[in-house]
Amino acid sequence: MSTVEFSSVTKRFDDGTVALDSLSLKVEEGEFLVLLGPSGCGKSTALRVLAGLEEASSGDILIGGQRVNDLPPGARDLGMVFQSYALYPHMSVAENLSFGLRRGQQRLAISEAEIGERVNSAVDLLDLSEVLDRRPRELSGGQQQRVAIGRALVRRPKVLLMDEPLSNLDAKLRNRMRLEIRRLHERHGTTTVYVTHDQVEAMTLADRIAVLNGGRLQQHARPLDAYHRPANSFVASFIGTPPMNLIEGEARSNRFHAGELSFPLPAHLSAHSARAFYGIRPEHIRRLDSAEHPEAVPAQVLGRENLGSVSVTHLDALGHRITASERTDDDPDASGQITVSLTHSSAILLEN
Amino acid sequence: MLAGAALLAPVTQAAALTDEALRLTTDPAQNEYRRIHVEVQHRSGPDTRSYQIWFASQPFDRVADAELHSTLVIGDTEGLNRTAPAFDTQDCWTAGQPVHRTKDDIPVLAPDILEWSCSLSGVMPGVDQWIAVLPVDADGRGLSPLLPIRARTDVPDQRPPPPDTLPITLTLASIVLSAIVLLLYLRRRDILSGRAQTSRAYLYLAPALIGLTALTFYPVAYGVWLAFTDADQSQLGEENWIGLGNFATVLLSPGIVRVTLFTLVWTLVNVTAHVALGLLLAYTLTQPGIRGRTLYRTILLLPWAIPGYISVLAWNGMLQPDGLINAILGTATDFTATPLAARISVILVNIWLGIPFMMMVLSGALQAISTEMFEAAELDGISGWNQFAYLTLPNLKGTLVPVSLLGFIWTFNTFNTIYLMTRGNPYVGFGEPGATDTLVTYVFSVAFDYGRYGVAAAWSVAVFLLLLAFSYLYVKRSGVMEVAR
Amino acid sequence: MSGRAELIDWVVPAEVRTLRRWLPAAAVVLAIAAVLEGLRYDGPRQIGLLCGLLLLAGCRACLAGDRRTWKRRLGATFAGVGTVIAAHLLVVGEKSLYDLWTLAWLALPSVLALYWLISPRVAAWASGSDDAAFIAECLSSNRRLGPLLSRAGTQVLLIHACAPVVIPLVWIADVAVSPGNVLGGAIGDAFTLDHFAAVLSSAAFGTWIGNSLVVSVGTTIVGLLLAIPAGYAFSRYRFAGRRASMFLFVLVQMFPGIIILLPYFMIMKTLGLLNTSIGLIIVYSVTALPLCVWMLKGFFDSIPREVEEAAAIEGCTQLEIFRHIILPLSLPAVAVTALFSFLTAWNEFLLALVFNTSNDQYTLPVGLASMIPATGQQWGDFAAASILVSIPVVILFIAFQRALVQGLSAGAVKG
Repeated sequence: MSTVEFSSVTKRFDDGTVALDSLSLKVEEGEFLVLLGPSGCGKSTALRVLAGLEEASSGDILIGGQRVNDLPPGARDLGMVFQSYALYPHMSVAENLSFGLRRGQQRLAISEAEIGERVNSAVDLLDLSEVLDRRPRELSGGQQQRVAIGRALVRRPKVLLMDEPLSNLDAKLRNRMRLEIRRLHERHGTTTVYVTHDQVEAMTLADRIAVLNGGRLQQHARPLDAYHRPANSFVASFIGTPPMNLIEGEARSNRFHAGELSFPLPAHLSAHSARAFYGIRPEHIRRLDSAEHPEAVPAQVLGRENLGSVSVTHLDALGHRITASERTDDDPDASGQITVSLTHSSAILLEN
Repeated sequence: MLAGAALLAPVTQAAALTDEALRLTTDPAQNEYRRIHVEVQHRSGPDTRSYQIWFASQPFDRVADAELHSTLVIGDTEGLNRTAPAFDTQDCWTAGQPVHRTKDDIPVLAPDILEWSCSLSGVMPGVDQWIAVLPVDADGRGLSPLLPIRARTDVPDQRPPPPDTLPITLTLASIVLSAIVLLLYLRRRDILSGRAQTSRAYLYLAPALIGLTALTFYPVAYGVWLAFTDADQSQLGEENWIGLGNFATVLLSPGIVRVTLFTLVWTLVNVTAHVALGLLLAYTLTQPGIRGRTLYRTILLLPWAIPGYISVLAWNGMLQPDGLINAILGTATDFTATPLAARISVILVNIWLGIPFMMMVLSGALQAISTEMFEAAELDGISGWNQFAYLTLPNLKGTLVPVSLLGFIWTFNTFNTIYLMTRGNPYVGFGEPGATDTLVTYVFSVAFDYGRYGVAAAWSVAVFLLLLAFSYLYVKRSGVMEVAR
Repeated sequence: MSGRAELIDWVVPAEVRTLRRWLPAAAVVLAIAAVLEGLRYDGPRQIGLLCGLLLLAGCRACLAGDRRTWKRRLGATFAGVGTVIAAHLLVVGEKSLYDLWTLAWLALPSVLALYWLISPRVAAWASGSDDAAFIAECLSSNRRLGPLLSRAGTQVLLIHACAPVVIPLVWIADVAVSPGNVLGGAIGDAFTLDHFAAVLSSAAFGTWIGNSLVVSVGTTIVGLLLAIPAGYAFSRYRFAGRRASMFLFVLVQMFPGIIILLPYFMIMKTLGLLNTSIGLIIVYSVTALPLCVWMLKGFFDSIPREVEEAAAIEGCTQLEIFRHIILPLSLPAVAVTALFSFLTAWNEFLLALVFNTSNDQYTLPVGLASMIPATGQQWGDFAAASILVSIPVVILFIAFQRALVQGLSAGAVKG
């Protein structure tokens, strides 16, 4: 187990694209860090630079406090789970698990018995005993996934890297594997860096999230902090389904003005006075019975999507598109003119 | 024979005319294609040593204007045979029998012969010719005046009657018919089993399938049948069943072991080199970050793109004593003169020809292997040679096995390289395969140089069985079936 | 991490790795060169190269196994002696391009080995050092030098692979533009277009091209007419006997040409089709048929069925679907298959040699081969004709190589 640190790491590809722009980030020992971002944000590159599969153009990578830039991937003592699993197709599950150990037996100075023991413990942990003699193509997606994790774990790596490991699974399996990965991490406690574009995975798995966009770190925080207190409009709109409503306007004398729209700021924001984005989560928008309420904002219902226990209502509030999330049982009017309140104690103001 | 005119002393008209007049006639009824029939009546005088037959395309009165066609010697016919001429120049008869001839094929007339006739060959058809017969004495002087007569042959070319095409036509027709019947039967079965839409498939398939059966399976069967007959160049269509005689000939042929061994060496060395070097180049070319990859790939593809016969002929030139290789080395070696050097040369040329195909097929297969697998290995500290041996090779097996089997069959059947490089030479012994002959080129020369069709067919069958046996062994040993699963 | 000592396994200097890989290659080249010296009767040079070979092999042996300073010193000595021998041969020996090339294979490895083996980094490595500063320095230099050296090695390999292809081409071009029908002469010593003029104005060459064109175009048309419906049937229908017929098509590819050659000849002779284009067209279209069918089947397979089904729902008949949907969609594939049949017929030698024995029925391959009999070899004309014939074929081949290889390997490998 080790810490991992990116120190002003920049990665510039030969064609001039900057995939990582001066990334600085520290992962504590035993921490589960999720690198989150849309495709092309540099999160996979960050992982590959950490693994040594790509070379950093500048900046240092530290594992356990030591600089590893010059080390070849095999010497960095990492385990990695690939998006496509990258299992060795011509080997059985057992051989897949033991191959790396056996080929590096001399260097790693481990005995045959030790290899067997490590493979067995991985097999038990991941419930693979039924399929030990099968080839990867004879396995289900979930089983392949578990073999890939097992192969990464038998090395007893200092850091476990996962590159979108769940993206090739169907939704149901994905939910189960998500729980399993979390459980594994709790058992093993290996420092883990996990790359995904799925914010649900990020929220459920991570000790901390690092949100990347355009090769830059946007926010590095606990999942709920990132959810409730996004550092900027990108994070705000990226995390949460449906995303946070962002209204561009001006905070002035206890009220927020955006064109014709105007409503009172919640108490914790009342001191602000600047041009800003007003951010409010859809579930924090309330309906008001009376248009005379001081917080009242008129809104036109554009449509309503019933998602089961909650419904998403699309509103037009004086020219601003807003989504509100409500409990379905409340069964309010599905159409027409309504009145809502956008003033909420969890709302935030983001500089623009 | 025409050149012989120069050796004779010039014929002078001044010579004494001692003989009585010579009577020369032509009989158009007996003319043949490019042949004119002439009859001569003449009592030769004591000085007459020979007759010369002269001809030209216009009237002539001196031999200088004509060409000498033939010479008949007058002399003792004791101990000579009346045989047909070895060379197809003139057929001459006396009293309905061929004239006597010396061992050198010169026709000889007994002095008492009064009448003789000749069929003169090599005459332009449909054109008037002037022909004269001149008795000459020992010094080559003419003994009678030159009195050419006009003659011409209009007989058209009498090709031999075309062989009977009926059996082959019948066989082909019956094959086509049975193929159609088979397809109709399958179609009916399909319809009965409720797959009505598929009936069109048979219509689409029929032409190709019929063509294939008629022109591939039938010839193979015909070839197998030929192997049991005495067919050769002179008797086509009249061959007789002779059982296993041809196979006995094959087994007893001199050099059979040598040619078989060389064929195996040829095939194995070639295929091994093709696969190994093709794999090396494919692997190198698929490595990341190579400058000029497209250029290299295009260049390395050229031996396949250039027509094979041109490459082989060019290599033939390069390996000549005054060719490129000797120019580079500063030597004048004849690389096709000694058996060993010739064998090495043809093998090297064929290796050169065969690498690009393997390279392209294998680089396709290499690109199909997931790169993430190698990255996973990289993280496990497995690199370079170990990646190649434990990951690349096993994953290529599915391609390597069938491709090398295919290479084996192709190389075994290669004809052009050897034929155009050496024609199987250097010579080893009469009727034996040459030093660089493989089974295939040797069978070719048995069939088309020696014209022994039956024996060649027996060789083909034997070669086919050998190839089949090797393929079977290979498939069994390499477990290609397991791979194909 | 228990310290840097465990990293010592990772710090073989890139120089040592490079030497380990390339010294054996150099030894193999020197062995070949030494054998070739036998042809040139150059005894001293042969001995020199053999010594070089042994020295390089010895140097390689010193880099194997565990690390010892005495091994490094011995290896450096070997490399030094190799350098001296190379220098000596360079001074006293001949200096043709070939000689310089063989010498380079002795000189460069020796010099590099010597230079690297006396460098401090390799010295530290050989002494068994596990000093942290050394390891860090070595790792960082490996990261820089390793890819550089391996890229250079790749270039050396590829250049050597390309040389046997390029040199003959240059040579044949030189023969084509050199006066006289001879092989010798230095590259680029004289220039004439006489051979091209002679070939282009010769009636025989025109006849051959005409014959080849008739045969190849005929083969392409007949072959496609047979192969397209068959490939479509195999791709789209599941009918009784499908597997058996597909196997039949594969089996035919395995028949050796020689077993078919003689019967073909006899049949064609009986039917009076020798010395005609028709005989060759028939035979070529059938021999190329299996591979064409397989290629087209593969291409048709890649057209989604849904397109056809959509057309069927719109009321197209089977024939209309084929004519308006399948054929336009698979036109590139059909073009590749056509090119394949064309090239096969254009380049075929054996059948043409056997079938068409009369001069005015020669196809190009037989005609060109007839320019190089045992006597009276017209190398200059041949070279010019070869270039004229090859250039269009090569351009077509290179342009369509990807598709051709794909189709071929689909046909061959799956079969």
